[in-house]
Amino acid sequence: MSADPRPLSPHLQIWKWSLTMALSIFHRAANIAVAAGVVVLTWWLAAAATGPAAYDQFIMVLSSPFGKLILFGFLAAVYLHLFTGLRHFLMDMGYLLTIKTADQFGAAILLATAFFTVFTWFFLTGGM
Amino acid sequence: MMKMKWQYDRFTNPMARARGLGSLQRGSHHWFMHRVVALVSFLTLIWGIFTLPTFLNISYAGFSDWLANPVNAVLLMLLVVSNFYHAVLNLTEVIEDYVACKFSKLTMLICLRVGVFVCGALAVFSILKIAI
Repeated sequence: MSADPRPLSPHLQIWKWSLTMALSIFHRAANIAVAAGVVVLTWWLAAAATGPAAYDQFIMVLSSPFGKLILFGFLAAVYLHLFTGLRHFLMDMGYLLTIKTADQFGAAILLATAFFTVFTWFFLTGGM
Repeated sequence: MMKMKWQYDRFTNPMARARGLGSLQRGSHHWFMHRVVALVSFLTLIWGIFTLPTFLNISYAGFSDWLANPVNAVLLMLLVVSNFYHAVLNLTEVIEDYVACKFSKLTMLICLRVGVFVCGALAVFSILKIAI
């Protein structure tokens, strides 16, 4: 079955990037990244229910450098999605709709995401 | 069926309300419930982020002891159900936005639901198995 031949929206490359546009795209990208956590969380719980050997294997994978990278990225995506989700909600309610407030809140979101991600990471790992 | 006042009035366009039209009269309810689930997901996930990964450093025994506490087990199940359901709602939006072909869209939407519900069932069963 072929796709609907209606025209697509303009491609990303032709737009000059703005903060509001970037955050909208990041919101969706983070959404997909966080959703992948469904599989990891299920794996963790299923491994714990299976027994000590499966649990230790999961912990081994997640404590490897690659596992840590995944965890850190997951954390950043969670916080970004959380804050951009709040922004989505506020904009739905009619706030932050001037260019100035939208940009200011957008910058605050990026700073807050960086801060909370690093803070949580150090809180959890003790600075590893 | 009894309706709460906010279900119809709070987020519905006044003209749509007057005519009784719009998204089979349930569009604003879907929108509102998406936000409610988002709020519950947010609260439980923050709790989860600051409690769960501590167990990356400790043993299997520590994790199962912790899950044996009913409060932790119930909160973890709430985290799973709420966040998984929120993921379904969000990914549905992504698929509906980008997949134009109706057959692929329907296939992906069904696979998404089946996949996440299987994960959800497995996760909840695992929690209960350890907790009880």
